[in-house]
Amino acid sequence: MTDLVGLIIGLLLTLFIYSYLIGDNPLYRVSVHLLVGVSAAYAVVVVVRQLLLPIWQQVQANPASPDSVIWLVPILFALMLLARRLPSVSWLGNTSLALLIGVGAAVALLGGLTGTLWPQIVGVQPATPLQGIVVALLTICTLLAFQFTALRPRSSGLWQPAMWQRGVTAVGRIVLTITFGALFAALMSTGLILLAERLNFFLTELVQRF
Amino acid sequence: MKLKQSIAIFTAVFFGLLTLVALLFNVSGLSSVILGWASFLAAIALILGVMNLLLVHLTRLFKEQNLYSGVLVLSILGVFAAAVLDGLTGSNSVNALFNWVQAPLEAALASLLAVFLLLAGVQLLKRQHTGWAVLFSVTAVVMLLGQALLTSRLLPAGLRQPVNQIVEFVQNVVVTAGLRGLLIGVALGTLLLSLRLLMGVERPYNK
Repeated sequence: MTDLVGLIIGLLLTLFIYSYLIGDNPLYRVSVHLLVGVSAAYAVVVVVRQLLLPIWQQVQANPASPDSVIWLVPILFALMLLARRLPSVSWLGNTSLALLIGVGAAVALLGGLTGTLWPQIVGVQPATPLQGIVVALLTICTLLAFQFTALRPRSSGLWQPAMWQRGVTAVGRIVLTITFGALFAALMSTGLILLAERLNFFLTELVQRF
Repeated sequence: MKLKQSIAIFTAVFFGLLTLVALLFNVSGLSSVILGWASFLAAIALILGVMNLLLVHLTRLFKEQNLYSGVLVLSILGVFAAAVLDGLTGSNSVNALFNWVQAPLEAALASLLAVFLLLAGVQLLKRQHTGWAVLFSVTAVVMLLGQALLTSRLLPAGLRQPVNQIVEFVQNVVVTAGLRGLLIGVALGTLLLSLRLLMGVERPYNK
């Protein structure tokens, strides 16, 4: 019975969302507001259950241990974050944000280096050596497509890109346009598959039950 | 420079470099402590953000009688109430709400993506009569049709190999190069911004 209720709620909400196809309307807006509210609250519930409660239980079990005392530092920073609501001491909240941004920058630096940059440079496994060379050249052209300034002034004194630079930029832009076109096609086919899956799910479930 | 700003800059640089050293030299105890603190702070920031969202929409509900805000407030309070109920009775109401409300809504919105993309593509061709727009659209059509035809029986056997070669060339050479260029560009940008943050040159927290 509860499954049936869930199925009907899900079907109604799906129809509310699809009603956007005939234009912006209150049903669509209600469902979008519902989604924002449920998602935000669900994120809070997950964070409390998965992160904050285990810390609380650890501290409660042995309050005097160094592992528990060490949590006083982030609690202090959390209190400083709360101070952002008070204008006279709102600057204290910047310190907590600074900690988050500093740690985030360090993680992003290493993540970008070891997770993206290095694997993209060394992890090339082309089918043939020629394909590898072509891919490498096109990659360089793609990167140089973002070079918007000239390397040195021309004889006229104007900072205009040289002919070779413009050629490389054009090739890079062609590669980028084709890439975006292919990505667009991939996203569209994913959307179509999801649409078919949703319709198939509801049709199958409703046929089975009624 | 004011002392208040200096404290924030010192905190960012100190904890950033400490994390970097701990991760680089594999000081697992130190890195897990600092990452745990950062996760804790991020969790508190998330909770504060959601509370702020709740307050803003409560104000809109009572001052402007905005019913959409009422829906949002009710949905937030409903999930919180379900979580409290779960804690008291051991039931699984939050997961039921997720499966009944959030998952269908997200799936429905994602499945509308195809329609939105199609409309956006048509708008692009209508508004921009440039070579770039044509190249973009031709690539999208070729890839969509190519993939669809390769999996169907409509394509004659003689055409199967050339279509396959075109689709493979675009995917394995051009798209690979384009995506690799984009990823390397993003990674270089991330490295540069991270270094500026760690050196205290960029200070978004003091704005």
